[in-house]
Amino acid sequence: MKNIEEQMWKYVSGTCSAIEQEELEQLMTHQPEYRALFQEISATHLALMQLELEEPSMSFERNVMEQIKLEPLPSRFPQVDQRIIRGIAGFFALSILSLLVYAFYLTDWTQAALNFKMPEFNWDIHFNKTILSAFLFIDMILGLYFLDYLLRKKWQAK
Amino acid sequence: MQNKESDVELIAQVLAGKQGAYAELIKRHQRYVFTLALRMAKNREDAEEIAQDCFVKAYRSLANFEQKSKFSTWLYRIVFTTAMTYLRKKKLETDSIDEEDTQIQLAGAVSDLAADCVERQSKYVYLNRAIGQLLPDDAAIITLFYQGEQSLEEIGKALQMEQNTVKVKLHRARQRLKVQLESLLKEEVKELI
Repeated sequence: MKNIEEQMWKYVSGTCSAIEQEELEQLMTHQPEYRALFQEISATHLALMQLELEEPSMSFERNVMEQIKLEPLPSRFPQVDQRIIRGIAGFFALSILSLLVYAFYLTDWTQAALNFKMPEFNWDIHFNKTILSAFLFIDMILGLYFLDYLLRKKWQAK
Repeated sequence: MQNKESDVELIAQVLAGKQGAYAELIKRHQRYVFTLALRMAKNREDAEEIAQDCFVKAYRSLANFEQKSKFSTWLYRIVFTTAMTYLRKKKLETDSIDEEDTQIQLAGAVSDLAADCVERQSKYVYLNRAIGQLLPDDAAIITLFYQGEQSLEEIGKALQMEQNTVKVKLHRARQRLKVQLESLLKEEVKELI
């Protein structure tokens, strides 16, 4: 009976196969209990279909639109992660620090009262032309990426 | 419900920068979204919050809507996951709810119209109340199938389930609904006696 009930539900909602449909129709014609079950299920199905949708409050649409006004325009490009921004900032900070260290290294400390001498360090190995080009190239890429981010943000704000 | 193209056109307008077109999408789907949220949350205030949140979330990811399904199916998926997360956060009792104050708050009350109208109305009131006493996912499946105009395949997409699982769940939900209806009607008869 339970299986028949399941098939009846499928029958009234039009999701059963043609064979199942025929079998059920046969059953309903010859057995009054199945006809009664069909009528019961059919009535519930109809009532479910006719149930009215609930209404949200009158201010619903306005509330959503107010929230949306604060949002940037939806974009296929993902929002730039804050970690990326921090990463770029960290990279530039590190570069400045490196330059400062280099500047300190070039300073002639012997002229001062301090008789301090920096340890020997072969900069030519580490700061050759290739490294410098790569450094400038990465800088340029990061600069363009950041410029793109700023321009897009500015465009979205309009 | 409007056809798919119309929704798609509105989405294209929103993506092109016409934010106002989104208001039309809200107008078109707010009752479906709210009904689904209400059936799951069992409370109008929570349902309104969930529904608003869903529309904002949908707006944020509108560009990621790939049009592989109907916009409504995509939107109901957001409603389902948002409502489930909300319910989990609120640690709501998800078992059948018997208390009168926690029962679904119906918008349409039985009015003193003609007798047949009252009879029809009360049938819907009982049905609504019975749905309100179902588990959130059972209520969601019933709502999507009968009121959300979604096929089994679309419900599967919305609830992230296999079509066969949806079939089984829908049948179980109907059975539970029948039990709830019978129980409600028995109580009513007892009260009358």
